[in-house]
Amino acid sequence: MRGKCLGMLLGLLLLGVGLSIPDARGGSIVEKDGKTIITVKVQQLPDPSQDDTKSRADVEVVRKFKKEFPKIFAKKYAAKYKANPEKYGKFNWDNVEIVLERFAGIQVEGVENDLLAIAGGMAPDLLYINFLKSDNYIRNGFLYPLDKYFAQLTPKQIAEKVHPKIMPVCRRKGPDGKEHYWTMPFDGILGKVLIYRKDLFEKNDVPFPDKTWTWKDLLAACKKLTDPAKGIYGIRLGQGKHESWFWITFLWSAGGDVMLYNKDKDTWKCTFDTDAAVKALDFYTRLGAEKWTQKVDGKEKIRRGYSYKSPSQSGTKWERGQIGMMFDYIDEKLLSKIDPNNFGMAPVPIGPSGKRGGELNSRMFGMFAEIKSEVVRDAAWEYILYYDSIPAQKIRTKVMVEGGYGKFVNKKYLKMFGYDEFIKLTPKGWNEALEMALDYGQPEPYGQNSNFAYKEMTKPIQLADQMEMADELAPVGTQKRYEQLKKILKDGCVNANKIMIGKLSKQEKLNRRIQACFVLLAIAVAFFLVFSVFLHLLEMMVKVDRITGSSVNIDGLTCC
Amino acid sequence: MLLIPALITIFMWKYIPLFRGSIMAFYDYKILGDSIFVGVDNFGNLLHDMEWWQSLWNALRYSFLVMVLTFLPPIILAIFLQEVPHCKVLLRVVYYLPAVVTGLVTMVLWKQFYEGSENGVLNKIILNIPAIGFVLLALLFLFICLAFANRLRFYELWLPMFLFIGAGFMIFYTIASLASPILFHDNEALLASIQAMPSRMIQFTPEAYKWLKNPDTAMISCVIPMVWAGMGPGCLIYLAALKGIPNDYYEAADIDGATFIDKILFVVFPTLKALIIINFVGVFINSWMRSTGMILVMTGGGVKMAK
Repeated sequence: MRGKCLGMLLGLLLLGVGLSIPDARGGSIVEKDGKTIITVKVQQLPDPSQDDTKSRADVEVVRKFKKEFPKIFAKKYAAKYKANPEKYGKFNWDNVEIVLERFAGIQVEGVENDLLAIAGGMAPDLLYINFLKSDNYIRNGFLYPLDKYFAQLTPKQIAEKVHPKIMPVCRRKGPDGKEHYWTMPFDGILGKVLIYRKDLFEKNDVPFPDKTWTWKDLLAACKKLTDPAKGIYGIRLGQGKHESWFWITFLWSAGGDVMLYNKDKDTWKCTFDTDAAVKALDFYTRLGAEKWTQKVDGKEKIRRGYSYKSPSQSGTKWERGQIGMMFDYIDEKLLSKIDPNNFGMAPVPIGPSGKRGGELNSRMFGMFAEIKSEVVRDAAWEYILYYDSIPAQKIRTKVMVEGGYGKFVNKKYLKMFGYDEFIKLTPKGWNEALEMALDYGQPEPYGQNSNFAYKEMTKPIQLADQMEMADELAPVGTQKRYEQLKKILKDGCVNANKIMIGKLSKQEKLNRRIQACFVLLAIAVAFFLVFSVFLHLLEMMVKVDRITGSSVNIDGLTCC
Repeated sequence: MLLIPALITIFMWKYIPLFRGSIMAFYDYKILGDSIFVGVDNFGNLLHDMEWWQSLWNALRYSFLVMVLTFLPPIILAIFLQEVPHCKVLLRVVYYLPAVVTGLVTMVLWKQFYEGSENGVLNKIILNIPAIGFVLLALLFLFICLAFANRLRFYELWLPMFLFIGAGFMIFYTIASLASPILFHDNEALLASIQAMPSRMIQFTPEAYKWLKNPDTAMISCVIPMVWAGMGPGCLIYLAALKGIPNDYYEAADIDGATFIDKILFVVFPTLKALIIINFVGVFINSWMRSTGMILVMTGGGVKMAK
């Protein structure tokens, strides 16, 4: 009786828990009180709880979109939906409202939370896609081709929304071998620039970086600024498996590249083992680990490099003015939020090739491929369109100006919306830095398995760093050093190509299968043997216990 | 009946994922769409992945180091706590405290200790010890191990004797190597280094150690916090066992002319043998299951190809 009661209680408890779990699946359409409510789940929906000006501007755009959506819907979709109730459902299309839900997935270290959501059947309708993961998402069929939506736009509109340099990222071949539009950039394009602390430069009497700066100037400035005894370093670099994000600027500036696409063969190949890459790695290793000495209290101390790499403390040190320079993004819409009184901005230094190279990036929307309802898809597309539209930009500019950030808004938008008086307040050189960053910028790696690119490039960087720390690299400028770095990069590149792009021959596949079979068999046999010995021991113990009725002492362990 | 919820929970959260994961290992698994059965291809690719072998080797080394280093310190600490005449309770609390600190906090704390500049706590200590300090410390440990080996030789226990001698020389090498940057300079002949040694004995380490970045020190740097945190519980268990040893055994050993080392070797260790085995099993399991997050916090992904 007691057991039955407990069982019933448990059942009720489980039912209660099950019913109380909110429905975390994607978009939906419901009719409530005569109103048709379309719900769209958006990843990285602006958060109203954030009180910074940029977030408030974005939230205002979303609020306006929700208000405008009934009119947009009535104009573009109502008639079409009413004419085809079998396809779109028998809802009241004259009274429509949109609800935008924020996607909040489980956070697990090392795993994208939207991947977890996709695996769990809880994916948002609109995914945030970056360049690195775009290829993987397309190949795995997570993204819905946006061709029919892009077909509604004029070429001019497409050109305004998608920068020509990042068009190859948005429009490319899918699993069917045909080209499609997969993503739509939002929030403008991002370029990479060099940010510097004016106070540290002034204190050490070092001229501010400008557009004429070369790597030589960068190194000289780092040397003058760095004072490890006081915890001050010349430049902020990175550490960890994506350290190559910092190196890639030097790679491009030296004239090298991460991956190249062969259009005829439709294949990608890693190419970070060229002579240009060697120069970039040499320079980066010098910044991170070059041996030099500093006299402190009359004693010679050995120092390594002129950079600070620890990610946990570099942010704090930067804010405190203990790091002189760092690479960061400049935004096409809102140039930057840094304080121009303390911080300056310059294009990335010119490399030995005479070129500059910086990353070009953009946040992108992708539509999840498994959205069941075309109504939700259409609504999601309207959100994408509106988010970066002229009316939306007008709202953002107004909020930024009223929030005191008018001088940081791109002059294009200030002019467009009648805030010309703020253009002259923009810090000197920032607009020019943006134009240059867009000019020399290159898209972040987006080829096959490019999400492994940074990780694979980091390995040779870390190896070179370790060798320099251990004084195993030959002196700077020697042929031996060049050969050592070349070998490191070559090995790294071969390994990267194998992992990211590698194809195996039939014979090699067969060899691997045979080896795997042997190993699995050995593991199974070993497991079986250990398990049977263990069972045999237990049986012995039980037998002895039954026979003697006493405890058995095995090597000090008393078993009853 | 009462066990059913627990059984269901374990089955649902441990065995079903294990079973499903095992099935997935034989597929080119796709989150969306149909997965393709590939047989043992995934295992074959894994066998040819050098990074996997390196990771496995690192995991084995880490587990071995944790087990070896976790073996002696709690016993030594328990013996000291047993022998100390005053402030027993306070000392026991102090030595048990690391065990109640969250693993993440322990790692962040040690990460501060291991800071690679000369402002790091550990570097501040190391950089202020002259070369002779390391050499003398190394000799002290070597002497202690040889003393144990000598007693074992007396009793003709050859294998333990050689183990102690080996351990002694390993500890001597490990500690004395901290003095090598001072005593031996790059590109210098050995003879010249030996000739300059007397004057270098009073000199200090010229460069701060990058504990977590250097492949030579990264592994041991990740192991030490685990050992430090695990000493308290191990020590308490051994202390409880030591309390259970009748005084008669010690008196009998005294009568037979046993030295302090003899009592440790032939009274204490045999009593603790069963507990050591049990502790070993727990440490072995923890070293495989609990280490990932700790190392991620300490090194942010590990020193590639850590030796």
